[in-house]
Parts: sequence; structure tokens; C-alpha cells
Amino acid sequence: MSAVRLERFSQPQPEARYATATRSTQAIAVQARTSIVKMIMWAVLGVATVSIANLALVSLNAQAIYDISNLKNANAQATTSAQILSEQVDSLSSQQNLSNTARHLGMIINSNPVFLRMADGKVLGKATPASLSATGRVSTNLVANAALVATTNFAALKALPRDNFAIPKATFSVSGANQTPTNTQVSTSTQTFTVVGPAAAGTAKPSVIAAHGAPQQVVLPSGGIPASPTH
Amino acid sequence: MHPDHIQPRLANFLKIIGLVFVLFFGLLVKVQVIDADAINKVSSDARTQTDVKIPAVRGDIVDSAGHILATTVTRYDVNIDPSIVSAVTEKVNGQDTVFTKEQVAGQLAMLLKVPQSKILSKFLISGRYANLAKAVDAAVYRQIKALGINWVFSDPVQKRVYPGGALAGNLLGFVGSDGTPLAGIEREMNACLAGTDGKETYVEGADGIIIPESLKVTQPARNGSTVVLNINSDLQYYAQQVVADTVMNLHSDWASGIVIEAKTGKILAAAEAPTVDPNAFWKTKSQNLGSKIFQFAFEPGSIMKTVSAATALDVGMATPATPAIVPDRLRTSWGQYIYDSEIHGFEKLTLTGVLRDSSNVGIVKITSKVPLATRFAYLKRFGLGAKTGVGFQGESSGLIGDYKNWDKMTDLVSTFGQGIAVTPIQTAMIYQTVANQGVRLAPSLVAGCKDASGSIAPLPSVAPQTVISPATAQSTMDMLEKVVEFGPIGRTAQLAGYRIGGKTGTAQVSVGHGYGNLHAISFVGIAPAENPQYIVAVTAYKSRRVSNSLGITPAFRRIMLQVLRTYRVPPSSGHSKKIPMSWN
Repeated sequence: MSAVRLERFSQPQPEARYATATRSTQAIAVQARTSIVKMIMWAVLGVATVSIANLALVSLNAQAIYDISNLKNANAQATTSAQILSEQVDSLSSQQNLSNTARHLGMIINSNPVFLRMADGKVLGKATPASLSATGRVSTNLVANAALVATTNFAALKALPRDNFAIPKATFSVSGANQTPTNTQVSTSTQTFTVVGPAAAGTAKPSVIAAHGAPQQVVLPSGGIPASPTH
Repeated sequence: MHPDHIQPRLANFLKIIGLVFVLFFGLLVKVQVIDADAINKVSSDARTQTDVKIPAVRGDIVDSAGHILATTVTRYDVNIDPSIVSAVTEKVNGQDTVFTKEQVAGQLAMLLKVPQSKILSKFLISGRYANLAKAVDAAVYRQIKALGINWVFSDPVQKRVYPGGALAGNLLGFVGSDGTPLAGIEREMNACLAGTDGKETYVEGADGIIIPESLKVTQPARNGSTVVLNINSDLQYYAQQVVADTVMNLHSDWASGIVIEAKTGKILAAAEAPTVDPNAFWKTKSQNLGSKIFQFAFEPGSIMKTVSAATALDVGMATPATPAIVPDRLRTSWGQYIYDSEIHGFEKLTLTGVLRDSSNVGIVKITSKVPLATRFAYLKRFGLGAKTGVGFQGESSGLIGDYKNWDKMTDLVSTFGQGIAVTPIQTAMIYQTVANQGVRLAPSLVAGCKDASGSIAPLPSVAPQTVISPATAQSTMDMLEKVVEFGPIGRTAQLAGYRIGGKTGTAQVSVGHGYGNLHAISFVGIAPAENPQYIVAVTAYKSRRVSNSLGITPAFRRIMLQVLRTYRVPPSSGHSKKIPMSWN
């Protein structure tokens, strides 16, 4: 407190007062300039950072746009593939193709339906073997279909081993781990499928499936199993 | 650093910064304000502003089990830019190989299955567009694209496809090349099937990439809903096979087979031959583009005796045992004759016996006693002379006119199905009425419109109408069973193990003012008779090999057996009711 009072009541010389004042002004100016410089430098740094970040974002965005475009193309390709396969499955599972295939395989409609009544076990109807009567024979397809893009390749079917047409038996807890599948190519007019067949003859440890025949499974080259509507 | 030393530098730096800011600000003003319009114009001229329609996908038509009968797929129009057609260089075994335009045309011709000369002629077209092929499938499109020719391009288009071909083609109808529904369910149910196109806008850069943030869907597309039919497509196919076979065997103009569920009126199959494959409808003769089951009316013949008999029973003027002396011809008071189809002596028949033998004379003698106005009212109650309510495009009402305008002969012959015209579906619904305890339902072809959420909105229903009493319906059913059990032709409709009621119909086809030599032969049957569930109605029009219903009962048997097998109907129990068919 005393120093303050001393400053307040002492009277310095005019030159000294001027010099002191100039130095004070200069010091304030320098401090102000330093602050401005810092502010400007921060501003420049900020602008530069934002610009770089913006540049990076724009680049990433542009890349993403191309990625999206590529993915859309891939999606279109996949959709096209799905449509091609779907139309082939539709054709192969159409009534026309199934009817023709059934006829080629010698299938006969049983004209004497027989029912087992679960309540009392009574058999309703007269069980008789199916015969090659006019009503039992599967007719040649007479229903036109311009949308058929694939039909069963009978030559390929004929070439399959007989065992491949064995009626699958009900099997329980069969692992089939000891099997060596025999794959057979089945070609339609536009597509080739792989039929995964039963175990090859001479398998070291015959399994139940090998003895009774395994269910057939049609596998597409890409690995998928075509969905087929039930008819 | 001393402040005195940095002062000049700082001042200079500040000046530069200031100048830069002023310069930038000035440029900003110039760009954003002064030159803004001009720059915007240059920018928009350089970019491509595109307004695109988002096409709504037309809904599917499916059968009762959800099997697709009609759907929409993407196809591709293959086009070229003739102005830049040139030889193509491709790598073959790692080496650049040049294929001439002719060679490329040959390759395209092979893939598109068009003559090479046609492709080459397209190369010569002036301008920047020429179409090589329309609506090629995805497999061909992919092969074309794999060629990598920069002057060949493809435009995706929607195409209606019917995976079953002519399966239910008479019902489905078809759409034109521009997607306009032209016939059948496609047209009748267009409000359900058609969606609403959407709109989107985007800006494309020179490289063809859409400018970010420019893509805006201004109106989203709403795809069409699914029409669900009551048709069983497997049964429909089987019935179509049978009627197509019938047309070939009988050399008839056409044949039809209808399957109705008695207690619901659902049409489970409505088969015709010949019929249209909607995938290539332009290859079908115009008279076969529609559905005769709903659109073609003709004199039905003896099928109508069931209506006459039921009417007489219902008004209490006859019973199944009502007797009549039946000669083989009847002379009217004005001198004209009514004949039976066979020559025979005087027979003592009951009404049941008359139906069994399908005697024209007998049915006239017994049922014409019912006042004409009453008989006409019953015709109308059975649904004749009016649309059935099925809601099929272009359905015929048939023709019964006004009884007050009938001549004296029509008064009599109408009892056995001459002088009036009915459609095959009207005939089938007469028997549905008998099978459903006298209550007539509207035939139901469409189950409803299924939206994206899976809920089905049913069509407006038509109120059931009681036509005859349950007792009359039962008595009529009993008589019809006798027709199949003992009738000379009716017995050919028997199915082992099942009790069936039915009626034959052989109608001369009118030619001008008289009748020709050809017949419309029909059989309608109901099974099982003890608990009627299904009606099968078959017709062959202008049969050239067999002139009576003997020609059509095999088709009935095949279809009815398939119906009973499909719906797991066990064989019948019990026996038909004892009804006298003759008297002494």
C-alpha cells in the first residue's frame, strides 16, 4: 500500500514520464499484437484443420458414392442371377414339365383311391393295383406354355444309375459320416445341376443309407438348393 | 524475440492476411452475388438434371395355395448407337483380336435369335438409336453384356409372365405390350393389381455418377397387390388336360370343365380347350381369347330337366313318384311334335324314371302343368337370364327373354332346355343350388386382394338366395342319383365306391332358324350324393364323333375322380333312396 501512495504523490520528470508512458504503450501494443497473432494463427490453424477435414470427408464421400454404385451393380447382378434361376425353377416345377417327366418315368395315376380311417383303422375303398387304363395313364402335356425356359433333360436322367431313383426309406439317427458321395451332373437345356447321390459301391463301412438308398438332393453349381414349390 | 523486431513483420503479415481476406471476400461477393446467375447456368448446363419415373411393379395373381399364376419380371430391350458402331477388339487367349462388324452382328444374331442380316441392317440406321430386340430375358441380357461392346446398351423393362402358360389362361386374361390389361382377371382386378408409379429426381455428373444429395424421391412408388384366386392350379391343369383330350377325341369346337365347391360356391377349376397362353396371346384365335364358361351362352338341353322337375316338386305339383304315360312323341294341340331321342312304345314312368331316361315327352307331360309364369320365376330364381355375380369381364347373362313373348312351342320345349340359352357357369350353379340344400350362391373365382401386409380384402359378396326348399333339394338329389345309378347314359358316369347324382344334356345346336346336326353334349354331376360337396360340369360343343352325352361322361369321370382324390373324399357309405321309376 505504501508503494502505491508513493507513486501517487511523487512527481516524476517530464522526459521520464514520457519514456515511461511510451514503454507502457509499447508493451500494451506488443501484448495486443501478440494476442492478435495468436488469434490469427489459431484461426488459420482452425480453418486449415476444417479444410483438411472437409477435404477428407469429401474424398471419403466421393469414394462412398463409387462404392454404393459398385454395390448397386453387384446387387443388380445378383438380382439378375436370382431371376434367371427362379425362372428355371418355375419351368422345371411347372405342371407341364412335371407331367411330361412323370409320363417319361412311366408313372401311373391310381384310379382307385383308398383311405385309412384313423379313428377305427377301417380301410375305405377297394385297393387295386394301378393299371394302364385310359384314366390311369398320365397324358402327354396338352397345355401350351411359352414361358418354359428349362425342361427336364431325359437323356441325362436316363444316364443316372438306377440306385439314384430308389425310394428313400425313413431313417432315424443316421449320420452318413462314412459315406463317399457320388455326384452326378444333370443338365437341363440351360443349367447344369449336381445330384448328390448315395454312397459309392465298396464303401468301407456300409451305412443304413447305403443299404436303402439316400434321399436325392439337387445342388446348384453355386452351392444353393433351388426352392421348388410343391405341386 | 523483442516486440520491436516483430513489429514490421507482423504489420506486413497482417496486411497480407488482410489483403487475402479482402480478396477472398471480394471474390465471394463476385461469385455468390455478381456472377451467381451466370455460374449457376454454366453449372446446370454441365450437369444432367434427370426426372425419373419409378415404375410400380404390377401385383401377382396366385392360386388358392399361393402358387404364382402371373407375375412381373424384368426384361431388357437391347439397343445400339449406330453412329458409333465399329469393329470390336477383345482379348482372346491373351492377345488382342479384332472382330469385324459382321462378326459382331453374327454373335448378336445368335444370342438374340434374329437373322444376322436384320442386325446388319440396324447398323446402317442414321441417328443414335436402333432397337435390336425387345424384352430379352435376363440370361440373354447377361450374355450380351458380357460381350462388353460399348455401342450396345440395354434398357430394363417390365414384362408380365405366366409361369403356367395356358394354365388358367382363359381366366387370367393377359396384358398388352405396354402393360395395359386387356382381358380376364388382369382387367377385372386391375385396381388391385396395378400400383402407383413414383417419381425421383437426381443430378448426374459428366461421369454418369449421381451427384451426392441430389437424389430425391419426390413420390415413392406403391407396388400392386396380389390377387388370390380360389382356383387349385393342379386341379385346373388336370381338368385342362382332360378337356383338351376331349376336344381331340370328339373333334368338337371346344370343351369345358368346371369344378365348384357346393357349400361355398368356390370355383376350384374352370378349364377350357382350346384356350389362350397369355405369354403369347397373339398366337391364339380371337374366339379363344376369352372364357366361354362365363361368356358363351347356348341352349343347354336336358340339363334343364332338373330345373323343371325341382320346380314341379317345390310348388307341390309333382313328387319323384308322379306317374306319366310316356310315348316317344307328343303331338301338340297346334300340330307340332315333341320327340324323345329314341323310338320307344308307351312307357309308364314316374318323374324319376323320366329323368333317368331323359325323356322330353315325359318332362313336358309332368312339368308343363306348372303355370308358365311360375316356371319362368323359378328359372330366374335359379339364376338364369342374369349374371351370376362372379364378376368376370364380359360375362354373359344368357338369354331367357320374357315368358310373355314366348311362343307356344317355347313354353313346352323350355322344360327340356330349348328356346333359352345359358352359360356353362350358370348350368353348374343350378346344380350347386341342388347340392347346397336349395341355396344358390354366387360362384366365387377371386378370394380377394392381398396387400403387402398379407391381409386379404375379400370382394363384395352376393347374398345367398334360397331357390327351392331343402326337402325339394334332397328329393331332386335323390332323383339325380337314380340317373347315374340306372340311366342308360348316366351310368357311364359312375365312379367305383362313390355315390353320384347327375344329369346328361344333349342339345341340338341352333343354326339360323332351325337346328343343325351337331350337338352340345354335357354332363353335370354331384358327389358324394349322401353329402354333396363338389359339382363337376363338363361340356363339349359341336361334338362331331359322338352326338350324345356318352361322349362327355368319360371326361366327367376323370375330373370328378381327381377332385375326390385331391380333396381326400373317402368312398361313400349307404345306398340311394328307393324311388319307383316306373309304375303299373
